[in-house]
Amino acid sequence: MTTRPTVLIVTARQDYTTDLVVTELGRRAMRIVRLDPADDEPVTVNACLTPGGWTGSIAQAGRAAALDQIIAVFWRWAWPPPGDPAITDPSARSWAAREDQAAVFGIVKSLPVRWVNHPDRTRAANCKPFQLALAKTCGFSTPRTLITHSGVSAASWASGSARPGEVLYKAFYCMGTNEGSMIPASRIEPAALPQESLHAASMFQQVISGQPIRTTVIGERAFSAAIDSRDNAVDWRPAQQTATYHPVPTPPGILHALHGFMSRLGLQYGAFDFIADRSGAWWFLEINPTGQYGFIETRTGLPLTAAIADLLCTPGRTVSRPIGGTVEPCPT
Amino acid sequence: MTERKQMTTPFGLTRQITLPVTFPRQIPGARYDRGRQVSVLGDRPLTDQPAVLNTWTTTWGTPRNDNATDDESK
Repeated sequence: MTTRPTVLIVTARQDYTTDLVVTELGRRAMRIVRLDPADDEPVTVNACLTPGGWTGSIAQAGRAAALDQIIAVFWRWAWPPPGDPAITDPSARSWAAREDQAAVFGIVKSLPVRWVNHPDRTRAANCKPFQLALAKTCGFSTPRTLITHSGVSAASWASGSARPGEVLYKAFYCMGTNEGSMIPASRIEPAALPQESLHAASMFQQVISGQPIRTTVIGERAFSAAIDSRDNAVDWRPAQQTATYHPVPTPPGILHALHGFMSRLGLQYGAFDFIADRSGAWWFLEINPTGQYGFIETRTGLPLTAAIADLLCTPGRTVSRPIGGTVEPCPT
Repeated sequence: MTERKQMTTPFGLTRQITLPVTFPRQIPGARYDRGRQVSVLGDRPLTDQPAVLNTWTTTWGTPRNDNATDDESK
């Protein structure tokens, strides 16, 4: 096993965006070990607890990383292990898979190194109501928002909007119930809302008209791109294959608020969605702490991969955030 | 008398759409190169093929993959 500083990458092999990071780190002669816990080739550990933490190794398909040589972890789509395929009994394999997950994820998550991002922080950041509340605290403008189970409340709230079509429904999780389906954010008519229970917590927001912006924050740096999808939809994702993108500066006030937001959540990477309204004010919509960025980089030339590589390779600054814990106060 | 249970659909699911264009989770013909630790298509790394990367690194169109960044990131 090679003993030199190593960047550990934990993600699915289908995470093609991470290929960009692997390539860039390779160009910089950084040692990389990329693991896919969900692969049929098992991730194995051999680790011993010492006063300084876990030492030993983690490996997959003959490629190993010494735990005490890992300087940074890039963690994205770490899906659960399937269990050793040599185990033929399904319940025994499922049991083994849980054991593998506890050990592999647990050991890696405890490493006192730079994280982009620590999964505990990602989990906290993924909660949209929490995002909105924190965004307000950090000084972002946020759309008027209602979360309710009540159709009557939703209709009443939506009717109070300035004009019809000024209210949207947005799911907390956009994946649909069938393969090939999705629940995009979409405008609603208050009259179309059921007058009884909505049968699931439902989020409604004021529609903010203007220019969609994707801001990718990497460490202290922020890269913003305007998205022109040439339609009037409130959700630009369905049109993103044909949309055009161009870099735009991030206003200083937004940058300050972004730093506060990232700091309080302990994040090093985040993909933020904003709308810039006609007055130029930016409205916070959401953050995705493991959001895609490849399509932004290839179409705008913004150096996102290089910024991630800079972060992963920067010596002397370790960030250990193994436990969710409390969020830090917003810097003033 | 047998009580018939009425189908109940959450409001949010009434907004569900079928993606107009979908892409398979894995790029057809691509394979993971364990030596290089990246995927290759036609023996060339995807990182040398920006048009392919454009399609497969978006946040839309590859169900249970791109949207996993919203829903399944752990």
